[in-house]
Amino acid sequence: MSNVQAKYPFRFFVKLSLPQLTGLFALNLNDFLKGIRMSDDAILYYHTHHFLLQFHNTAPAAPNDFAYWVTNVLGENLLGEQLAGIDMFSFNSMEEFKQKLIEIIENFITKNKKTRQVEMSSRFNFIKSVTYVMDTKKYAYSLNDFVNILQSLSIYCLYYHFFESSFRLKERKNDFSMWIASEFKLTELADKINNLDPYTHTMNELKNAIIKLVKQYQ
Amino acid sequence: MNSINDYAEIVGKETVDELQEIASHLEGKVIQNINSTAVGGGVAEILSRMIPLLKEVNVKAEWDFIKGGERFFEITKKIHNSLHGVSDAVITKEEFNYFDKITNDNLADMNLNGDIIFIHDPQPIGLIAAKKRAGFKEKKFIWRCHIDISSANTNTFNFLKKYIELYDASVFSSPLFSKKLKIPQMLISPSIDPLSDKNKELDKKQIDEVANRFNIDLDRKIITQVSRFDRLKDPLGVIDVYRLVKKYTDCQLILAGGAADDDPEGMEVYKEVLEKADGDKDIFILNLPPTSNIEINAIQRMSTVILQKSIKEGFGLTVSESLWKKKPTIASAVGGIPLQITHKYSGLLSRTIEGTALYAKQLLQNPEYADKLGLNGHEHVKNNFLITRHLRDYLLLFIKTQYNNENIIYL
Repeated sequence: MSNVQAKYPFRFFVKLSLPQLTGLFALNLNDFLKGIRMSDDAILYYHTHHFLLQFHNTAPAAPNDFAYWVTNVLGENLLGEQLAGIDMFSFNSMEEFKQKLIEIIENFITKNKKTRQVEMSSRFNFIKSVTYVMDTKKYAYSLNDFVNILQSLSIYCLYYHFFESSFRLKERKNDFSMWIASEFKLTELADKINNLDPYTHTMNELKNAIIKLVKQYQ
Repeated sequence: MNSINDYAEIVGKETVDELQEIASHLEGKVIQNINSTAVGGGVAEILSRMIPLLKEVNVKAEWDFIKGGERFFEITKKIHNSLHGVSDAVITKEEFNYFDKITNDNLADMNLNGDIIFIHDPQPIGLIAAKKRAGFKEKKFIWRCHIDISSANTNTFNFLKKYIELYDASVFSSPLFSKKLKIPQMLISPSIDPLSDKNKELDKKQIDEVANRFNIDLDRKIITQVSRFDRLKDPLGVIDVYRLVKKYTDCQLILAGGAADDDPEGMEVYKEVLEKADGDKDIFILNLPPTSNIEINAIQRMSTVILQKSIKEGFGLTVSESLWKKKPTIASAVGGIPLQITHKYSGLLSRTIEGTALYAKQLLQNPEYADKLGLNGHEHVKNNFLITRHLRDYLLLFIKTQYNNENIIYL
């Protein structure tokens, strides 16, 4: 396949972000629930993806900030585990994910009236991501090009084409698989890439796994 | 001075290429940084390394200083302490008026030629008044707060707030350091430079030379704290920790830092530390001049365990310095330290002398665990606290000022 040329090239973007304080914070579970209700996509995105950014060479300690704070600061291990276990890929929008968070926390509060109040220094700060989508102006016409360019780009390329894509495309798909399936009819390879769970891999592992899979079909 | 390409060996060529690509979106823009001094203090240290790197990625970066004089800087020191919540630092109306007078003098003298004017800390904060000038409509002003203002004196903060809220954006190092403001508050952590004398790789000969100079025995375990002689760094508590550990594990203690001649409290604390050490030959109290970067680097690299037992802390970048050197680090859970250490993953967070001693014993007696924490800490610093990440965040911040308050910016 290495020399087969695509009719439409793959155009690479990277997605970068800068955190911004919203002024919203929580000292207890009720405030936390209120804050989540008021959160928009930019806030939810920050708290579900910044751990991946911070720990992109090593295994993340928790898959999202919500689970981390509830477990490690509030000390509510049961709720923390429930929040950590939410499968991000099973939602087509951040709004759906938000409703799931609210449902789990409301259930917990109904059954557990007394929860801790933490000090100001341990508060949960609601932060939003200001997102930058940058066109790298790099185009792949073949699988060879694809591997070479992906290798030359930072992990932020995966944020756009692998993480953000499922929300943009409103289904559990990523841009790489879509292009490979439509341009080269390699549905098996496309499915294998699609089946990689980005929330259980470190960023570098994920990038290397995609490159390794594509190389098998070159 | 290092080239941006020298950083590729550490963070990867793809990251350096990406920085250049991001910077290309600032073509033609002049970024004018303004603070109060070229030397001394963390702000000058970071700017002295950041400005050349901005230039390396072809951004027109400039660095200017305000003029003040002794009285002005006495007042700004009081403002600084008052913002930190030091209760006896009360600023009088007359002092606030003098601050405004000097600000007006600087407004008259300075050439504010930048497209983006990046003001650092409270001393030059009043320069925002220039925003009203004819022809300044397109210029963007950002205020970078390098200090923790969460416990600020209300009067002092209200005096500054009238300036802060005129800016287009503000920048804080931690969510815990900020206040409620009407303008956007961006979060950008400070950083260390892996190629600076304080952090670059050293060979064994250089480390041996420093150890020999101070008669430190490299065949025995070493606990170290690097920080100036300041009560808030709790050097006396560190000696208590060492004594608790020494009952079970043979070790030496290094307390390395500076006590400036013009800081009477620093000399006082230094003397208290000497007194508490009581002539113990295994305690090395090193009062080093501020230029001792290679010595600090070597001391951190020869250490078995590093402590940062602060009672109060700003960001506490010495923690990132030791983690960068893959050293198992025990630090107090104060200021910006919990952002640098995830407990039992990239280091250990403690709150008491006894707890710190317990962790130190665990690390000294379990080198494999200690190594694992050190390695994880190194990776965490590599991903989050190196100057290349700081540079990227600043570039994104400058770009953001060219857009209205949009959540998604397409470049």
